[in-house]
Amino acid sequence: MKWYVVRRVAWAVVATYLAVSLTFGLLMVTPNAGADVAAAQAAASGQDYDAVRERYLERRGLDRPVEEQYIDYITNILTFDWGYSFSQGEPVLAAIGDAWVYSAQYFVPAIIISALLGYGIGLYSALNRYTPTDYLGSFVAYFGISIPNFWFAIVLILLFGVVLRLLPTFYDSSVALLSVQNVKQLLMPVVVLSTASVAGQMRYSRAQAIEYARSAFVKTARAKGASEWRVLTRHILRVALVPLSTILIADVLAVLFAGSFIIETIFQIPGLGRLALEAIQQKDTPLVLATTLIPVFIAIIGNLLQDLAYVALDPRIDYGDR
Amino acid sequence: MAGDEPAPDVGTARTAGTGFERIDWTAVDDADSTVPPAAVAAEALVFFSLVAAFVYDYVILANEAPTVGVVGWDVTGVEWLLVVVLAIGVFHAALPLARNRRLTAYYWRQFQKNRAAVVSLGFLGFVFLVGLVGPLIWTAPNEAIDYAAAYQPPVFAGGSWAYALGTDAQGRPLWHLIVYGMRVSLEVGLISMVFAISIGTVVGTAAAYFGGYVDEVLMRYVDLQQTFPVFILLLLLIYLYGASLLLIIALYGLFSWEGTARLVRSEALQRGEEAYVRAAEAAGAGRWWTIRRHLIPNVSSTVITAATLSIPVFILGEASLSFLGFGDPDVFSWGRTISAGRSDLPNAPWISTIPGLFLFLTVLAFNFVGDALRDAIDPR
Amino acid sequence: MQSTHGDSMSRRHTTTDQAEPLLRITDLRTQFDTDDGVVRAVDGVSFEVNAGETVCLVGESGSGKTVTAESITRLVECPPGEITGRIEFRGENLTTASAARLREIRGAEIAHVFQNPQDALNPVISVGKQVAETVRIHEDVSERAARKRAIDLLDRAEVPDPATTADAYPHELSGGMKQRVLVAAALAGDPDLLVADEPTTALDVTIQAQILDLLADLQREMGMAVLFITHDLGVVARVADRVVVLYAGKVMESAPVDSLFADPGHPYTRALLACLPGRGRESGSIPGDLPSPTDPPTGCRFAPRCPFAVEACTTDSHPSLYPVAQEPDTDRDGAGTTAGDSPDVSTPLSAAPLDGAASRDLETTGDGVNTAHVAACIFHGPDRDAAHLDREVSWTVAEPDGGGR
Repeated sequence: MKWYVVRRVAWAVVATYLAVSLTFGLLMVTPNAGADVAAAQAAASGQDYDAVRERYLERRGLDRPVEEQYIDYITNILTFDWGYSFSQGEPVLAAIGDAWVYSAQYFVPAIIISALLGYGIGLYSALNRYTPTDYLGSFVAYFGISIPNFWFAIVLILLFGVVLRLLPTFYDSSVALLSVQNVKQLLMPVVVLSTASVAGQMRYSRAQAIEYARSAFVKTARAKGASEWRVLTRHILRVALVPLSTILIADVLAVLFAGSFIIETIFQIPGLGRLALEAIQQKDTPLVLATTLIPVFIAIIGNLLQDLAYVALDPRIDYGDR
Repeated sequence: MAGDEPAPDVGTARTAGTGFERIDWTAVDDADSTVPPAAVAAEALVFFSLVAAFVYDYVILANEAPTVGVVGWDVTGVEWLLVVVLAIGVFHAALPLARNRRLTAYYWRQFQKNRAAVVSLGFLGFVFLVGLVGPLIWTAPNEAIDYAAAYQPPVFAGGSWAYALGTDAQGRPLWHLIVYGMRVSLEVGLISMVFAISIGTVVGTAAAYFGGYVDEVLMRYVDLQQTFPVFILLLLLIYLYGASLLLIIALYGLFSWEGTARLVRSEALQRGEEAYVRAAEAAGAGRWWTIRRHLIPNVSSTVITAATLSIPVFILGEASLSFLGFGDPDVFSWGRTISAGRSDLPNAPWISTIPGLFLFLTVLAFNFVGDALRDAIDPR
Repeated sequence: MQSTHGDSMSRRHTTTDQAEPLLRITDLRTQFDTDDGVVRAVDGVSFEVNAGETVCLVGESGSGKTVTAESITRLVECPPGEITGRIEFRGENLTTASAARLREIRGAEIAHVFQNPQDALNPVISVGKQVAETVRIHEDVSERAARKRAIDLLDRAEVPDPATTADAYPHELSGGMKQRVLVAAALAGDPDLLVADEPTTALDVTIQAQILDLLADLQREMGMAVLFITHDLGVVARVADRVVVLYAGKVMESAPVDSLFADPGHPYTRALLACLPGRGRESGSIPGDLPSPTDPPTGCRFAPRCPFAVEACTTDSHPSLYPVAQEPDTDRDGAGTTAGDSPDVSTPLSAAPLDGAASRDLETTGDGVNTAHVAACIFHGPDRDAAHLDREVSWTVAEPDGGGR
């Protein structure tokens, strides 16, 4: 078991390294927009475009051989020197530092809700099949995985913001974090973001639980006189956690990351997603790389945790397999 | 009532004489497995002519000259792909289904039990037809710009039948935008799906069959690809290479197959252990033969379901990209239309809501159909 | 420890008084709503189990025996299942009992052992905890005390090194060991009735004998009654006091074990016996298929496959249970007849079919329903000649060249 953990952590490190190197490769391939902008400005005031450009690159050490830049790059990443963002006018790290709080405050509740509601309803539906709650749950699940989140957000804004005027139509970052107003303006983003992942979790956990609900060991537990609650928590949930853990993190994160760009764009939340989009549109390469590396890194950690959880939960695993 | 004689037939339930020997195995074999030479010839002909036409378009014709001069239609790269995919669909999906009537009838009966799925199938058929043929009937949105007719509401909100679903900020009829959006979704959904499924099946089967080092390497790569959030990768690559529908489709195809590969690999591993594969190998069957004749047909039911359920993912993905502004600027994806309507939300909500409704219903329909398909052909 | 027929006599004797049976099932019907129609898995089954005795429920797959067993404590999923009829356990009707009452009874008074030990244990919980679970559900004991009880029970179930095994996970144990664990878990609540659903079918033949012996010993020690479900007549011969034969959801025959083997009253029972290998003739199989569970034939369910069937067998409803005349045969093994008098066919009372309220009548013959030998075949009924069933028939499949019947 210990050996397996070591191997998994080592793989996570390797994956991170590969991701970082890949982004370096991309960095080498893309034209440096900052240099172009500086050169254009200089050319406008009469200087030589190419000379200015070269000097710009030289000053930043961007004309050195690839290997030198690579080592520098890796060292910088590890020492948290992530470069300067010309579009934000501040170091990349600072820009991220300002933005991540706004992302976290809707992201974290969305994860929690996805896990709790998704599993909860899925398990409940499995044990109470053919009841109205089950049918409602199925309906909500289909709805959730099919509805385009950006459209859903628009419809909600239309309904609650424009027509009913109950909730604000966009996010005002000047509002204090721990206020009722902040909760109101986070309500729709969290709902929209959670919908797709809750629906996915619901369907999967219901299917798993149904499979287990019909199994012989559940029947044995019932035959011993166990209450439905005991059967659900100590038997079905406990066993279902094993396969459920495989989608706990990875799937949820994937859905939430993709959704965050859209949520922040529609609701105008100044979080990491919007930062990334702006960086891309402005061709601010250092910022682009940093904002894309963060989700990748979180995903790698998430996968690692998930794998560790899987082996911790299932005593049957033969560690030679993976 | 003593003295009744036993009725002659009541006592014997099994009629005499249906022996195993009486079954004509060659007829069974032929009916199910071999493809008639006529079909093979037809398929070869079609693909050959497609390749020829493609070469003609890209090499011989001048860049801007329309491929089909008489209609003025310049076939784009994506449209070529669509034709290829449709041809594959005809020869490898429609034709086998038509030839194997009994099995198809059985699947259909199972499928029919799910009424939502049947309705969805009808809706998807409608979308397919309109998306395919629509752009030939209704004029392209950019040629229908008419500022005088801007912001017309749809007919059920006080508008006129001339613009049944209303118009957008440039006076383009929403119906035209929707039809062209259907075409885009059609293209993205089908082509990406074929790409992803093909790559996934090949990789999965190869990993399962060759095992060992090949398996290890392939699965490690699959791990990596699964960890990496694809959407972000797409954003990055579009940023680097510019947005075009072809690129988007290619990227989705190239980076979404890991799920299929995993699925196929585990199915193939299970099947590979089964007796009939071992028997075939013991009888001297070569590797390719075993893979083609045994593994692939048996994993196909899982693959078909996965394929059907992947289409809505691609359609939604492309819509999201277009919504964020990363879509092809020459193409009228639904995402783009919805995004354009955002600023007019308070006064002209139909611009964003109606295309979105179509998108929602299309994705929903695919999910219903995919689930029903799974219940029908893959009862496990 | 071989149990011989002689032993079975002494087992039986504890039950011949007029005391209420421990479990009395009357006209039990369990049906399921499926896409293809209503499946009547159990369609009017009646039998009894007395305290301390072993009743075997016999039938092929699809006969309804498992569903019957699971209906007793409503382990069947309802909906889509639906249970009607009377199931009286110590006088209390379980079909109308509340879910809470059923939970009290399960494990503590009626326990189950299921067929496949591989699946019947939770794979992620240690074995000891699963045995202790029964105790913790019904009694207010600490975890340590429950664990001690569990180890004790594992010891009684002849699990080697019980203290260490208690911490093992199911996948670490062999099939026979797992079944012992399940037996221990079932007995943890000190039940009065053990329902064992094919507990040895999934095991090796050598282990089977061990588990059967274990069950017999424990039953004797604890004074339990056992409802043993099986399709294996060899097991029946070994453990049963009485046998109830099921087919297509209905009772075909019910008799004390010796009487059943010596003089089977129903053609289906004869078919089952004929199909046992190694009885001096080649084993056969019963030609034909089970009737459709959603659309059963009119009349006797077995008629389509029965070589004795006449037209009257396929009309009307399924025949009632008629007493089977016992052949006065004393030169058999000392156990050919029941302990008391055989029900006399000529007495007016026995002309009535045996079901429901009429069952009370037979007690006047002096022996209680328990020792009655009844079969659901019209040829044992009034106005029919049971000798019709005395013909020798071959149960093997007819030859392809059109020979046979």
